[in-house]
Amino acid sequence: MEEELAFHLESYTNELIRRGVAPEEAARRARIELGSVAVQKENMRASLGLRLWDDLRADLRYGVRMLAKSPGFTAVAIASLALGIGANTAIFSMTRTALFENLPVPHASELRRLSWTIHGKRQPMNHVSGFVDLLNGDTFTSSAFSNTAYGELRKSGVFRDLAAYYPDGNLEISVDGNAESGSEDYVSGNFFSELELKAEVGRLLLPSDDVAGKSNVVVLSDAFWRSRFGGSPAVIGKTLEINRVPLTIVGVAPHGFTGLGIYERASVFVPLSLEPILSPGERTNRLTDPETWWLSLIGRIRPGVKDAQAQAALAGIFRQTVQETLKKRKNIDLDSMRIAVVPGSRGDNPYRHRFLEIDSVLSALAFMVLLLACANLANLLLARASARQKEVSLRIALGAGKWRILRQVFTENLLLAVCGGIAGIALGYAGRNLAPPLLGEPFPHFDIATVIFAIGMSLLTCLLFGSLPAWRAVHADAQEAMRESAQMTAKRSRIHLGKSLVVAQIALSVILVAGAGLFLQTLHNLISVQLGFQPQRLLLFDLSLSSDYKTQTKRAVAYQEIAERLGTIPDVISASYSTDPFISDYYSTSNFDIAGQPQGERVAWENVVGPHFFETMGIPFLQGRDFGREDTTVSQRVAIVDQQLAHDFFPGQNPIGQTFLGGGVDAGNIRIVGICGNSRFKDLRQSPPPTFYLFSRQIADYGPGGQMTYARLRPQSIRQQFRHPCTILCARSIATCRYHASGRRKSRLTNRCTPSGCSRF
Amino acid sequence: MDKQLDLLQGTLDMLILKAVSLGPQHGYGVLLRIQQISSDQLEIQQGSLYPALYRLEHQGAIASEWGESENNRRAKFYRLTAAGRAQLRAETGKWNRMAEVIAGILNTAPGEV
Repeated sequence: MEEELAFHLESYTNELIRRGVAPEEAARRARIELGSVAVQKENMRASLGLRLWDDLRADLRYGVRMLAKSPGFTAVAIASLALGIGANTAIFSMTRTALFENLPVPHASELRRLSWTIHGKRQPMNHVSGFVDLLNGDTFTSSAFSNTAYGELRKSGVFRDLAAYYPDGNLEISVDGNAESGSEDYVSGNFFSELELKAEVGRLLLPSDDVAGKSNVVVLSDAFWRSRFGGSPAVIGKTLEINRVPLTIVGVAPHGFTGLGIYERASVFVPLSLEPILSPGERTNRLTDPETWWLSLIGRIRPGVKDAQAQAALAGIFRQTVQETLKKRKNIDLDSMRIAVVPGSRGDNPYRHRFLEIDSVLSALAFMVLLLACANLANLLLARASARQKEVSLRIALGAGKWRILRQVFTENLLLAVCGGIAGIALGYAGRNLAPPLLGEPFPHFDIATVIFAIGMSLLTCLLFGSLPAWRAVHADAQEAMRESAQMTAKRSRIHLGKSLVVAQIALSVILVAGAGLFLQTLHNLISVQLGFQPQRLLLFDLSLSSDYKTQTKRAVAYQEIAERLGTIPDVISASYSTDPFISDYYSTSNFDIAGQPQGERVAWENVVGPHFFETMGIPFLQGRDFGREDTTVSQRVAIVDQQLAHDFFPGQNPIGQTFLGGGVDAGNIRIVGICGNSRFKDLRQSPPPTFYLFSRQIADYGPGGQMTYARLRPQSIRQQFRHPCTILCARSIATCRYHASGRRKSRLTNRCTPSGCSRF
Repeated sequence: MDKQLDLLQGTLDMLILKAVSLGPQHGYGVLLRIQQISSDQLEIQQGSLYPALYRLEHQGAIASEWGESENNRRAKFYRLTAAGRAQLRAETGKWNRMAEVIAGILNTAPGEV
């Protein structure tokens, strides 16, 4: 363009010169006749329809220049926007993952799960596995069913079919002799077909695999297949050992599917029928025992069947099964047992409703931060608009249209919003994993939807903070404004506007500061709560024994030996173990019946502990004696109770020497020999429950397989020594108790348990 | 120099097309040619020439390429395209009809109506 115009000028100048005009004069006249080259070019571009684009580019360039001119303002604006958008983005990604993400199966919305409730706080059968909700008022809630109940419910006809599964997080998987700790899902043969999943390679499990003992097969998860076998299709037909039982690999589950539990990621899937073979440590055969409720059920509801109808249809079958298969127990009303149909599209997330509460609070807080950032920025922009009034007035006076000015202002705002948005996405990405551990949630996916959300947020903020100053800018009367600006005065209305914005800002800030204060107070309370035991220099070993230790007796002896050997390490002051780990969601309750008083009224918490337990944990001993060598399987059973129990059950008496019935074992009377201090080994929020401790040496075959082993260290000791304390076991986690307890503290904020807590058994 | 006539609104495009239809020409040449044909009777605003050229090129009525001018300078030459030729024919026809009608009206003597 420029060249063409230059050629024109030159030709015309030459022409004029030929006509006898002096060269300078000729050049001048040529320029006058053509007009300004810049204007000429602008008109030429406009005729090409490039006007809008040119304007936008000019606006952007101008905007960048203006922002660069006041780096302080720009930095503050972008930083505050980034905080607001970042916080919202991080929380959104968490909310989306936890609440709105469906299982990676086709037509997930058809899926329903089953659960049941019973009045009272006690379970109506011998064993219940999986998640149990006791916090819900005076009701016991669970989603575990016995195999017998599963068989009956399957016949109801309201589901296309009903599948059963049971996640087991504690087993040994070995490939070519290399063992590792892993988790598996026991699934019924119809599980994969009911979920409409297709094998990545090979085949998935089939109903024919339900025949007990016939089918020693295993299906790998996609992730396990890729990490252990490099994604090789040649894996089909190979052998893999689970708890030393060889199984043939028949297929790989589809990519992304790791079972239905939201906290558990299954490495392998095995048929339900293998459960008695793979987990021989159990005393009863879960497949046949009607008093063991362990299976989670899921199915696709038939088209046209309403949840309420399905529930009604299932209720009769359920009631009958319960009456026929469960023993009658004192203080338990089997008639109050009710079955419920619950949505299953998002799998197994028992904490959903509790998460929803905390999440809405967090979302509201984050949104308020964003609003505050917007108000802040609007005020800054207003102040800037006043300062730039002269510039705007000048442009209006020079003939700039209102739309043109508006567009300029919005381009600048958009520029800020986009910068803030980009910084916000970065911040949200960096902070995406901050909140979930605090709530015990799984880590969220930070995907394209999250980014789109952040972009939407940026545009929203742009509208929020930008429209007011923009409106101000174009409604200024050019003449008056120029005069006014010259005198550096501002209209009253503008002052009012600024004031109301400041009021809004302060109001929002007060809410936020108060909220943050309460939050910190809660954290502080939890940190300063008296644990009752000494968490300093206490190491926790979450150990799983290899599957050579099949019987409870062998396992008990092994744990005892581990603790003894730990105790001989120079830096260890003492070591011990307990069946229920401290600060976890495991606890056992037991009747506490005192001779001559009504039975079944008192319930206390019980824990079976090894030698030197109180010394190791730093629980003060108040009265009586500790467990000792004189306590054996043949001597009188003894217990140590805590202060709370002494206070609740023996008011005004000395409990030492008293006897009680309890502990869930047919041991007869248990004599109380000592009183120890209270400790909060379950929950930091509730007051310590009445607790009694039994001695592991007296109860050799007691308790489940997993135990927590503790070691108290000398102050100067070195942690590294404990990496591999013993070769016979694989250590799943070793943590200092401070860490463990602080982790619990964080998760206790919402009264929930961590994934590791749920998965242990 | 005689008093020049101002160009009628909307006729510049047509004149440019006509000038270019006589042979490829650069912008300045188009200006000269129109003035020359009209015997300097028509005054073309230099400021409106180039936007008009660009508009016509954008519409596809003329095409351009860089070439050598008569005084050996690089210049952008415009030539008529097929679409431009059709447009010129249509506009010429329209103009002639319009001129006839207007001339007819203006020549009407009293009593003829």
